Amino acid sequence: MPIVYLPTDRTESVPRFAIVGNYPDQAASRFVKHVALLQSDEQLRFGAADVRVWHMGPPLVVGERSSAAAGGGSTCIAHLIGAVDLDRFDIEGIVTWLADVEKENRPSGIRGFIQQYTIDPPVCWHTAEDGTRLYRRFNCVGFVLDCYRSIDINLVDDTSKDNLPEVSLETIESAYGRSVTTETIRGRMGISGEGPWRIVLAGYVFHSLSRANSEIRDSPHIPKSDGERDFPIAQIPSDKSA
Amino acid sequence: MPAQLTHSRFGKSSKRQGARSGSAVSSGIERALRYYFRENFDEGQLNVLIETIAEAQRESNTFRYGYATVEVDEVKRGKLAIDIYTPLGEIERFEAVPSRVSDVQSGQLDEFSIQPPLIEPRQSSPTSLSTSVLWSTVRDSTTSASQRADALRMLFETEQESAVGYVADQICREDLSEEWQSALVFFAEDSHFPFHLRQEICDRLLAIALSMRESTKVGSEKVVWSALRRAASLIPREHANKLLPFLLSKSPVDTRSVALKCVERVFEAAPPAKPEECAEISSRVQTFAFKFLDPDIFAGGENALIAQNAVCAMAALGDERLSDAFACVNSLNRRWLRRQIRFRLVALLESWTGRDPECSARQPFKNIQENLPLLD
Repeated sequence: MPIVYLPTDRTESVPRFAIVGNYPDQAASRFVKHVALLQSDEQLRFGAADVRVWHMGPPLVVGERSSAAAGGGSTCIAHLIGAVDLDRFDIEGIVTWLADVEKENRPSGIRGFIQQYTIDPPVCWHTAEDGTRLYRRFNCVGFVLDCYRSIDINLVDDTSKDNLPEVSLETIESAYGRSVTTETIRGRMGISGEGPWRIVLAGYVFHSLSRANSEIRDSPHIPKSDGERDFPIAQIPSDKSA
Repeated sequence: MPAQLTHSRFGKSSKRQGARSGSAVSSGIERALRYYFRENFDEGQLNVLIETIAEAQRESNTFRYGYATVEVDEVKRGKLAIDIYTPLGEIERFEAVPSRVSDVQSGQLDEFSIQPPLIEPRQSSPTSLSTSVLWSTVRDSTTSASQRADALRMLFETEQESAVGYVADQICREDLSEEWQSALVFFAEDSHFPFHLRQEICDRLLAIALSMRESTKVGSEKVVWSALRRAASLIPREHANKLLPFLLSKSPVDTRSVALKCVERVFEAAPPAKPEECAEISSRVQTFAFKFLDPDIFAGGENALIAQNAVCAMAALGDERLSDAFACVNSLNRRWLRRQIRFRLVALLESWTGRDPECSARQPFKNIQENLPLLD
C-alpha cells in the first residue's frame, strides 16, 4: 500500500516524487488541504515543516528557475505521504514532465498567481485566439494528477462530472480560503454560481493511493462521497497521527 | 483633503522587528506611504501606521503577497482604507483610524487601530480605484514596470478591450525598457488580439525572443519562452520556417525544446498545406529527433523533452520518416514516452478533424494515423 503513515516520534524514509499532503490543523482536522510532489528522497516525520516540494502553491514551482522566482524555496508541511512504487523510467518521465511544465511558468506575483491558477477543471490549457494551447493552468491537485498521468498513472477518474461527488461551498472554502465566497473569484476559477459543485479535492488523491500498487496503475479511483475530502475518514490513533 | 491613491506591493517579512524600531513592510510600501501621506501625518504617525500594517501582515495567512491601495476617507478625515489584493485576487480591506493614546514612558503616542480583514469579502473588482489613475500609472514610463503591470492587470478586469489595444500598441515599440517589455510579453500571452494586428505582433514577439535569447540575465528565459509560444500561435502555417533560428544554435537561453513544441503548435489548427514548403525546418526537426532518441543521448529531463517534442513536430509537419522515429521510440522501451507521444498525436488529429473533417484525407493526417499503431 503506497500510503506511508508518518510517525510523530521518528522519521520515515520517503522517496522522491512521493505525494505529500497536509491538513490545515494537524490536531483537529483530517481535511486534506494541499498536495505536492516531494523534491528528493527525505526522512520525514508527521508534521515535518519546510519539506521541499514541487507544486502549484500558488505560485507554480516546478524546478530551480521557478523556485528562484518564487523566492528561493518551495516548501510545505507533511502530514500525509503516498508513495507509489515508481521505477527508474517513471522517475525519468516525471523529470521530463517537470522540465516541460517549467517552460510554462508565469511571472511571479499576483499576475502569475491568478492567470495560472484554476479550481475547476483542476488542469486546463490557456489558449490563443484560435485555440492554440499556450500554457497550463493548475490547482495543487491538478498539478499532481497531471504529473502522474504523464507516466500513465491516473489517480482519479474525473473524465465525467458524474464521477465526482457534489461539494459544498463550505468545503471549497476550507480548501481554497475565504476568497471563494466571492462569486467573481469563483467565476474566475471555474466554479460559477452558488454550487454545489462536482470538483476534485485533494483528499481523493490519498484515497486513490490507499490501494494496492497494481490497482493504482490499473484503474483510476472514483471517489464514493465528498467524505473523501478527509483522509483517513475515520479517526486513527494519535501516536500514528496520519 | 482630496482622495489620494497609491498601490504598492507588499512583501512578507520573515523577521519581526521591534514595535517602534522599524517597519517590517516592504520598502516599496513604506516609501509610498511616506510619500503620499507626508502632508497628512507626521513622522510618528507614519511609523505607527507602517508597523501596524506589518503586524497585520504577519498575522494574516493570505496577506503574503499582494498589491495594496490606500485611500484617504474624504468624509472621516484621517481614516484609511487599505485594500490588499491577495494571491487569489481577493481584496482584503484593512481600515486604519489614527487615535491618540497615552504611554507612561513615552507620553502621548499616535496609534492606529487596524481592523482585521473584513468579515465579508468584497467583490474583487478594482472599482475603488479610478481607472484614470490606473491608466496614468500604466502610461507613466517613470513608474516601475511592476507597478505599471499591476495597474494594467486591473484594467484587464474592467477595460479589457482598451487594455489589450494598449498591449498591442506598446509591444510593437522598440524603445521600451527591458522590464516593461518583458511584462508586456506575458500580457501578450493573456491577450486575444484583433486579426489585423496579429502579424505585426507575431513578428515583434519573434524579434524580442531572438534578442533576449542572448541574455544571461536571470529570468530572461521565461520571457523568451513566453514570447516564442505566443508568436507561434500567431505564425501563419506557411511561415513556420520563422522558428528556424530558435533551432539552429545554442544560446544562453536554451530555446530548443520550446521551439520544437512551437512547431507542433503552429500546425495545431491544420496540417501544412504543402509539406514541401516546410522542408528546411522539417530537416532540422528530424535531426533533433534522431539525435535525441539515440540511447546514448536520451536522458530524462531536457533531452527527453527535446526528443519527445521533435517527434511530435515531425508528425505535425507530415514527415515521412515518422515511422523510423517511432521505431527509435519503441527501442527505448519507455512506456511513459510512448504514452505521451500517442496522447499528443491523438489530440492533434482530433484538433485537425474537429476544425475540418476533410483534412483526414491529407498526407500529414494519414501519416500519423497509419503509424500510430506502431507505438503500441
